Parts: sequence; structure tokens; C-alpha cells
Amino acid sequence: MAVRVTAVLRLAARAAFAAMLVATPAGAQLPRASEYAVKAAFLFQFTRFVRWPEAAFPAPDAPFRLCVWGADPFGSELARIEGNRYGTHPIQVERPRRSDALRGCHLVYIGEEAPLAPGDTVRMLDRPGVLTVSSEPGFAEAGGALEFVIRENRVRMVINARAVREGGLSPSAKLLEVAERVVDGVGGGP
Amino acid sequence: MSARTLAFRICLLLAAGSSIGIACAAQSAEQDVDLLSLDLEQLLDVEVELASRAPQRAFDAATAIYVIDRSDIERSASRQLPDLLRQVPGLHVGRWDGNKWAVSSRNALGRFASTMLVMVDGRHVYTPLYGGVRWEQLNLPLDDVERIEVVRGPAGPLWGANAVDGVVNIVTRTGAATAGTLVAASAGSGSPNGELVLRRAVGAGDASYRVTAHYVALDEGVYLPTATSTHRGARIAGETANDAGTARRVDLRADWAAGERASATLVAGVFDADFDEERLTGGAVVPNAIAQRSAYAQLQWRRATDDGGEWRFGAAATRGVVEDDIADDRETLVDLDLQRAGAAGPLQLIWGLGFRHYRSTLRVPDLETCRACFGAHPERGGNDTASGFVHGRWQASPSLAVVAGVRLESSDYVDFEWQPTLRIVAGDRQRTLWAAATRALRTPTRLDRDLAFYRVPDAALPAFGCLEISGTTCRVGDRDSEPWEVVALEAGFRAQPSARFGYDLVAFEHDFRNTIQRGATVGRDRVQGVEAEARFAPAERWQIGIGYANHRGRNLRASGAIETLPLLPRHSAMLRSSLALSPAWSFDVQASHISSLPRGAAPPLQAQARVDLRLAWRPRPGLSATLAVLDALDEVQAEYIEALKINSGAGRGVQFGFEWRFE
Repeated sequence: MAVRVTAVLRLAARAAFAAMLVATPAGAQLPRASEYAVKAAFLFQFTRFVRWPEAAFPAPDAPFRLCVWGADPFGSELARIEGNRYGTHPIQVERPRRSDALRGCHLVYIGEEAPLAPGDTVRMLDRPGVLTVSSEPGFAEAGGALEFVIRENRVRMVINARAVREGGLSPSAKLLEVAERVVDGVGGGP
Repeated sequence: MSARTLAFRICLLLAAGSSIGIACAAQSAEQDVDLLSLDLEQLLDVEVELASRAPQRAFDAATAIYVIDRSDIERSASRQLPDLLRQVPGLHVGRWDGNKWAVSSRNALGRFASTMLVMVDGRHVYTPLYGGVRWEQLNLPLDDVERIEVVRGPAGPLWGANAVDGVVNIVTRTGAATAGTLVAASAGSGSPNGELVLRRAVGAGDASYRVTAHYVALDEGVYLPTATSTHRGARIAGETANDAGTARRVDLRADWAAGERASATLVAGVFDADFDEERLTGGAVVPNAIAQRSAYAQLQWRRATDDGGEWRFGAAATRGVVEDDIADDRETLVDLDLQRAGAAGPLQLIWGLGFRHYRSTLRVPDLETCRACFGAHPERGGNDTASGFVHGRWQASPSLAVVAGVRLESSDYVDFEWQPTLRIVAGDRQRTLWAAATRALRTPTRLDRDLAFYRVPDAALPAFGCLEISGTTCRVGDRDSEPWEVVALEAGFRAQPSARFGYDLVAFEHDFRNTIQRGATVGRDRVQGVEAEARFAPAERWQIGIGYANHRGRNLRASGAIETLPLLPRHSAMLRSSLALSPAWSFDVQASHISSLPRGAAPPLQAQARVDLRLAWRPRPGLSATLAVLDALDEVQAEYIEALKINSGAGRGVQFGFEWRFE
């Protein structure tokens, strides 16, 4: 037994050592905001820098529906957005559990453990007037509109300009400018 | 067993952070500024404190897990499901004739390899007759497969007997994910030479369903040189072998959401296939025609609870028939499964109860004329198994968690047996370090207990080592068979330094004790190894995956003598590349290399390389055409040699495929 344990420990130590050599070191600690507080603020900014067609709203005072699909990572952060307005439309935060309740959402944040894979959700939401956002790696390439990525502890975005436009939405030049990357993806899969 | 994904259990138990359904509230750092008042550029400058991780599926798991996702499946040159497993470092895949595969995890390849648990949507699909998997029955249309979750290493404490050195769970796609109509066909040379898929799926509101019909024709292989086959010169290398096959299946899946909290899934299907092969009997090569039929149905029901967890209930039934010239096996399996996941004080807990009913009738087809024919005594047999498990996860600190669990199982074949595990996982969002110690069991199978030979001539009886003789029937199966045991130590590290680069390293040792025959320890197997995997994206449209496994496996005889022959190849390496040439064109490569395997007096399995290529053209959404070159290096080689069957090789194949999807 002793021999075995040492053999495994040796293997593990080697593997861990090799891993440490490649792994990124933890950065210096600076005063920070929480990741999802910043992402929530970004969601709010998207309502400023993306234009939805008026046809996406049944009435001039109809709510702008910001929907979180899957697990909600924002905690109470989204509550701070609620009550603000997109034009004449009060922003309303919803957490639908069923896919049919996603119909009519203007902005859909796809969290983890959504009932469908992000790519499939995007395909399901393939209709005008929806902006899809996720932190899922590869989301923009899979046909999602906006993907959050973290670079050096800062939130960045990858924008699939084609997905935004095909949704009938107009991203402002500024939004495209601040994106880390703009893909013009064909969208993954069928 | 109810259908559930590995991800479900792994998230629940092993992920660092909160559990399913619990919103992972961002830990608000002190915020003096109102973030909403910042403009876009200012926001980009805010340094963020990364959220303690909500379950990130596989990433935080304290186990060696590999997920073959939908994009890997779409990009596979081969349309045969077992071939997809070749990309997983640590798994060994060998196609040994025109229609059959052997797959093992960290262990020797074998047709009767019986230490891996294989499931489709959580339903067990290994046969309790001998514990092995008939991979030819798992050749699902890849268009219906959402992902394949692979755990290397023992998972018995969570999953039950047979999860000794690996678990493979094939997750099928919902009607909502496949809505519309699909017509797909492929044809060409090599194996398979023809495939047809027709699918209709509807996803509307609370319900979705999918019906798929699938037909596949598998081409014959070619005979191998005498040195790497069992035909003993009775067949000429390079000639077409007698091992074609056809398989037909219809699968149904329906999903419902009942209100906000409850949901249900029904899967059902029928399968019917004819496979040819040749076997070795008394030194002669004789053809054998195999007919396989099965039908299955499975219902799962889930309900979310107030504590963020859920109840699950599952029921599954399978009826299967395998008929050939040697045996006629009919089996019935019923699984019932209940489980609860949720929070209990500082612990995340999951517990479950299961019941399995298995009956089989194994008849000798030509009992009047055969000599020393293979069978089971009694012809009808089986067992009922009751099991229960509980696992708890304690988050000791934001970056450290401890998981402990145990499974108890009792059946007609084994008394109370327990399988415990202890796991530690530490890490943050980008890095995870884990270690685990586990005891898992492979419980005796029906053949371990009931294997018998009928119509054995008197003079030959002593040579069989019979434990019971009645007339000319000799039972060699041992009613005192005990479980095989593995004690495994594992450790791993995985990291995702950037969105474009991630890697996974695992080191392990498995120590087997096989005690199946006559209560004596027949042998001990020891397998040690390291497995590494990395994925990176050199350019936006180009993704690369590489893998490597180094396995050292030895058998230690009961006498204490160490067998010098390795159990499995020492080195295996894999490479995948996916390149989007343009919006409409993509080019994919899958390659692998396996080192040679010495086999003592028998000729070694040669070192072998395999390269598969795929070029896809998607002129518009819903329409695609693909050209695949399988085994482009055209190495006609034995991947696995089964002692009593004639194996064949494949060589290069060219396949043309076409897919059309519409509303």
C-alpha cells in the first residue's frame, strides 16, 4: 500500500507542478465590484446602445422585458435596473422557467443550467426583437448576440454583429467599438 | 434507474459554489459608486471580483470527466457513436469486426469487459448477463445525440455496481432542440456504407416531442494477416470478410413541463438488427448470424423543491433478445429509482433509492446435436437488486469543498456491499485541484454464477472443472462468486487560463482484486496512469484539442508472480482540429495514435495511427453536404483480437453525406 500511495502522490505532484507552471497567477488584489454587478450594469447599458424596433412592443407603455433564462447569477443586482426605462418602456425583470414564457422578451440573459444548451436557446429564440446575452464561452460564435468574457479581471464583450442585426436590432457603433471582438458568425449548428 | 445526467449529479455534489436551482448571488463587494451611472468605457475599466462559482458543470467536478459536446458530435467524420469515444484520453476503443466494437476505460479492451457503466439518458444499457456492453446496439443516429458524458475512474458510490473504471452517459436531444423535419443520408465505401435518418420533431409551449427512424448498413471488413487474427490461415488477408450488418431503430422522446416546477420526460424505442460474424469452433472457422431485437421505455419525473433542490422519480423497462447459432438470450430489465437532492443545514445532500429486476432465459439453440455447448444452468435466472446511496457535500470555505458518499447494495447475488468515496476539491473560477479515494465494485453477473456447458462427453467432464454435474450438464459458474473490487486513488488539476485555452490533467492508480472463481482470488490488476487534455483556439475560426494517456497496467497473479505483459497499450494520443474555412465551409480532422501491445506468445497488436477527415459545406441554413475520409492512412490493422471470433480490419473509406432540415 505504501508503495502505491507514494507512486500516486509522485504522479500527482508531478502533474500539479506542471500545472502550476502553466496556470495564471492570481492577480493583485484591488478594490473591486462584483462580477455580476458589473455585468448587470452592462445589461443596462445595452438598452442604451442597442435600438429595438418599435414593433417589438405591443404598446407605447408596454414593458421592456429583461429575462433571465436558467440559473440567475445576478442576485439582487437586476433589481436596481428595474424601474429604469427604455424610451417609454419601463424595464421589467423576469425569470421565466418555461421556454414559451420567453416569447416577447427583449433581452434574454442565458445563465447556467438553462433547460437548453445556449446554442439551442438561440435557435429557439430565432425571431426579431430579441437580444441574447450569455457568459457561456463560445456563445457568440454559436450564434448568440453578446458574450461576456473576463480579461484581466475586467468584463469584456464579444459581439456577433450578424446575430444582432438578424434580430432586427441596431447596435450602436460605440458598442461595436468597445467590443473585444466582433464576430460575423454564421451561427453554429442547424 | 431514472434518467439523469452526470452533469446533474456532478453539479450537485462537486461543483464549487451553490447548487442547482439556487441563484448564486454575487457576493457584493463594497460598492461606493453606482455602477448604473457609469458609462460604457468606465464600466470596461472596473475591475471585478469573480463570482464564487455557480455550478460550471464539468469544470469543478472532483472527477476525471470529459464531455463530448454537440459541436464535437457534429464535427465527427465518423457517424458511428463508438468512434467518437476515441477522442477521450483514457478510453480505449477497438472495432474488431465489421459491426462490433470493444470499449474500455483505463483497462484492457475486451468483448466481455464488464467494468464500465454505460447509459442512455441515465438508463443502464449494459447487459447483466455478463456485465458487458453490446456497442453495436448503441449506434444511435448522431443527429439525435446532444452530448456524451464520460467519467474515467470508479463512480460506483454514486452510480452503482459496474461503474468500476468508467461511466459513459449518452444524452439524447429533446424535441425542442431538434424542432422541424430532418432528412439525412450518407453512403460510400468503408464502414458503414449507408445510413438514413428521418426525424420529425415539434416543440411547442409546454411540450415537445421527437420521433426518429434510423437505418444503417454496415460494410464488411477485410480479413487480417494470420499473425493478427484468429483465423489461423483459414482466410486470406485482404479478402472481404463475412461480417456485414444492418440495424434499424425508431426512437421517441417527449418532454413536458407541468407548471413552473415539475417536468417529465418519456423516451421509448425499438431496435432490430442483423449482424454477420465468423467464429472459431474446434479449430474451424464457421459463420454465425446474430439477430438482435429490443424495446425500451422510460419515464422520468422531476419536481423542484423550495430548498433549491428537487425530487426525481424514474421507471424504465427493457426487453431484449439476442439470437445466434450459439445462444438464444432473452432478457427483461425493470428499474425503479427515486432520489432527492437539496440542502440540509450546511450540507448539500443527495440521496436515492433504487430497485432493479432482471430476468434472463438463455437457451442452447441446437441442444439435440451440439457438443459441449455454451449455456446457463438453470436456463432461467436473474436477480433483484435493492440499493441506496447518500452523498453530502460540505463547503468548508469558498474555495474548498469536501464530498463524502456511500452506496449500499444488496441482491440475490451479493449480501450487503458498500462502496464509499471521499473527495476533496479546491479551486477558483479558473483552476480546480481535486483528489479522490474510492472503493467500487463489479458485482457477480448471471454468467459468473450460472455458466454451464451442455452435452459434455463423459471423458471430457474432468477437463471442464465442473462445480456441479447433472447428467451431461456441467456447471462451471460459481454460486459463491464474490464481487470484484477496485480501490482507486485519483488526483487532477484543470485550468482555464483564458477563454481560448484550457487543460485538464489526471493521475490515478486502480487496484483490482478479482475474486470470481471458487472463492479464490484469481488475480490482481494494477493500472497506473496519467491522462492529459488541452483545448485551444489559435484563431477565431480554428479550435484544436489534444489528448494523451499513459497507462501502465499489470496483472499480479495469485501466486504473487507479476505478469510482465501489459494489460493495455502504454501510450495513446489524440488530436482534433476544427477549422471554419468560410461561413459555408468547414474542415475537421480527428487523429489518434496508439502504441503497440505485446501479447506474449501471441503476436502483438501493432502500433496504430488513424486519421479521419471531414469537409462540410453548408450553402444555406438547413442544408449541408459532407465528404468524410475515414482512416485516411489506410492502415488495415487489428484493433482488438477476441479469442473465439474472427476479427477484421477496415482500411480507408470515403463517405458522402447529405442533410436537409425544414420546418
